[in-house]
Amino acid sequence: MAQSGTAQPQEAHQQKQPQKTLKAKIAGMTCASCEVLIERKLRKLPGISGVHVSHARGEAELTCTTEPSIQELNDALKEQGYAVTALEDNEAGTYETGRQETNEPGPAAKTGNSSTLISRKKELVEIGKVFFIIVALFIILRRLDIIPGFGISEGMGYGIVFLIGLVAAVSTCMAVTGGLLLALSAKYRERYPNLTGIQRFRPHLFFNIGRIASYTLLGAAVGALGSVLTLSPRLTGIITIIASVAMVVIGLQMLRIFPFLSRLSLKMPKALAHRVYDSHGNQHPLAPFLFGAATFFFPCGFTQALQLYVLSTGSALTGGLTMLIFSLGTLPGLLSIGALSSALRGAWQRDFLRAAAVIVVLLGVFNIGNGLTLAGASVALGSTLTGGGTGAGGSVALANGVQVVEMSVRSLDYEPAEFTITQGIPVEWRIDGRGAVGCAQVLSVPSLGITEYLPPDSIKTIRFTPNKPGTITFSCSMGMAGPGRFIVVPGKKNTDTGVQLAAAENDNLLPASGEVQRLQMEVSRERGFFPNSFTVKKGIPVELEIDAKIQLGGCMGTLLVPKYNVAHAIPLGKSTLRFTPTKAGVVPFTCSMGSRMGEFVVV
Amino acid sequence: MEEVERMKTTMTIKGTHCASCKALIEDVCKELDGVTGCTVDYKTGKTLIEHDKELDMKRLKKEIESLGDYKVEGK
Repeated sequence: MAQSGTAQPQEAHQQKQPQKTLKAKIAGMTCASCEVLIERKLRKLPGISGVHVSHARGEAELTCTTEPSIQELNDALKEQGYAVTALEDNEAGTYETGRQETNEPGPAAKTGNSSTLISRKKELVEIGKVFFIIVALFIILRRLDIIPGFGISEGMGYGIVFLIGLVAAVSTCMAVTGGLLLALSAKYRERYPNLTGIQRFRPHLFFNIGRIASYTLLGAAVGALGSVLTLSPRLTGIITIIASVAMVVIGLQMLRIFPFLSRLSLKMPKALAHRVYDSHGNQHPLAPFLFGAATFFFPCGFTQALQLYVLSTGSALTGGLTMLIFSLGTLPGLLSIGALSSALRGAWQRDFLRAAAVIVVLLGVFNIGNGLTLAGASVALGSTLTGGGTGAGGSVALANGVQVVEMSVRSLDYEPAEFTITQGIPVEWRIDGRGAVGCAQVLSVPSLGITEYLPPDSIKTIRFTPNKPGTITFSCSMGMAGPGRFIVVPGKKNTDTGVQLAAAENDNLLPASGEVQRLQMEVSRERGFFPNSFTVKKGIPVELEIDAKIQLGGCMGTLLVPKYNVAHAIPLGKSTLRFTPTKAGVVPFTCSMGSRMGEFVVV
Repeated sequence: MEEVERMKTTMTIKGTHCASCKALIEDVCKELDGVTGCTVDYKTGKTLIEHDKELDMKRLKKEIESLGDYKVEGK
């Protein structure tokens, strides 16, 4: 009965217990080998007749005749680097550690502040705190408008491209690429807990080398081929969803809130796993390299916008150089994740892993919302997070039989993002898009077939009449901003007609004169936008018939003529863009993120 | 005391990926009759076994492979 000097309250029921089952919480287990190893070690202890260890739950079930103390268990496992953090009486069903944990400094507490006996409850509270802090930071950062409105335009210097990279790495690209990188590096740490900082940093190095190499080469390819290597919005959405679900699962695994998730680990087929990991004991450098290379195709607004810019330059050299400099610009942001995750040790390491896990889960949930919006599902999942606390919904004023709805766009946020309107009464939707950046400059309401450009200098008014109760969602052209929504409640009178779309105020389309300038443009993988320069006469309506041979992805799905506030969604096949030039000069047309695709020369 | 002839055998164990694997395999090997020492490098899988001349290699191999997803290669 080797009771050490530590306080143990079980003297009362310790005598003459024939068999007893106990649960011990064990920290430091990573795999099945740990289970076997611990089982072997604990079985050797006197009085213990059966041991069953689960690394997924981080606990061991002990069947014993004499109850061992935490100290004894720790002594048996210390050499292998595991720490027993709590001992639970299975029959009583409660954690005995809860009451006494503060006066029991175990051997694993050498890192200081935390007591060895972390009960599950306490752990959850801690995770809750981390969660709260990160959500608060997130909301504050969004409020401060950290995403500056960079215009991507022709002739911008490489210095600007570098700056865009810097910003991208801490904003939109961080959401997907950074999040996944964080998740994988944290997982890598768990798998190889004994690596030195340098060894941990190695995969990050390969990741970034891969990223830079692929950006440069593919950038040059895009420039040379003059075609886009982006994927359709639907596919982008699906990839986003898959990556995000993986992020949420990995994050929750790291938090160990749901033990069953550990069993659901993302395992590679064994043959592949052996090749990637085990043949060298360490992770093969090719794996992070390829992962880095694949980020070229990851959904990130800035990356896509630059790919389109590169496309418009039509030069392999400019293309390669631009993407090279952009990826170099993202280097500080992404490398700092690597450096941070490699350098931390001890108590910091645990806190880092926990914070990383929470961030990964949040980004995952946020991205799933984006992905769903893009993939076409009208689920307002992200809005609870991104709506910036305007959950109450916007005010709707009724004037002259019209429901007037006012909304403003700030960077990528709709404020407010939710309105309740009445069925059958015309809606006048006044949108202040002066603060909109990037793709938020184009508003898309899929269910009404509305795609509108929000001019940077005035208020846009869109009119429609909701004809049936339900939800109408809207977002930016890439699904990054929003979604916001109208909740249509049943009205007193039913209108019989479908959705009536009045032309928006700013669009002075098709004057009565019969004369029209008809132009044609083809969009194909081989030639991009071809031709992309047109000469038109002023004062006569222009009809540009666009024949899209390929499905256009991301911001490319929408063509803008910013000077005339025209936004045109490009479907697969033929569609027509209309506007009337009123002044002589050059009228550029761009993608929805402002990247120049071509021009009309008005004479 | 009779002098027992000692031998060293190296082999490669595939599937070792962490320090626990190393600890586990070493622990098990050392308990086998005839094995006096065992060192595993989990990164490369290279394993050095010190043992008496008469050692049932088949049994050793079986023991190791039964511990998990390991594969003993070489002798």
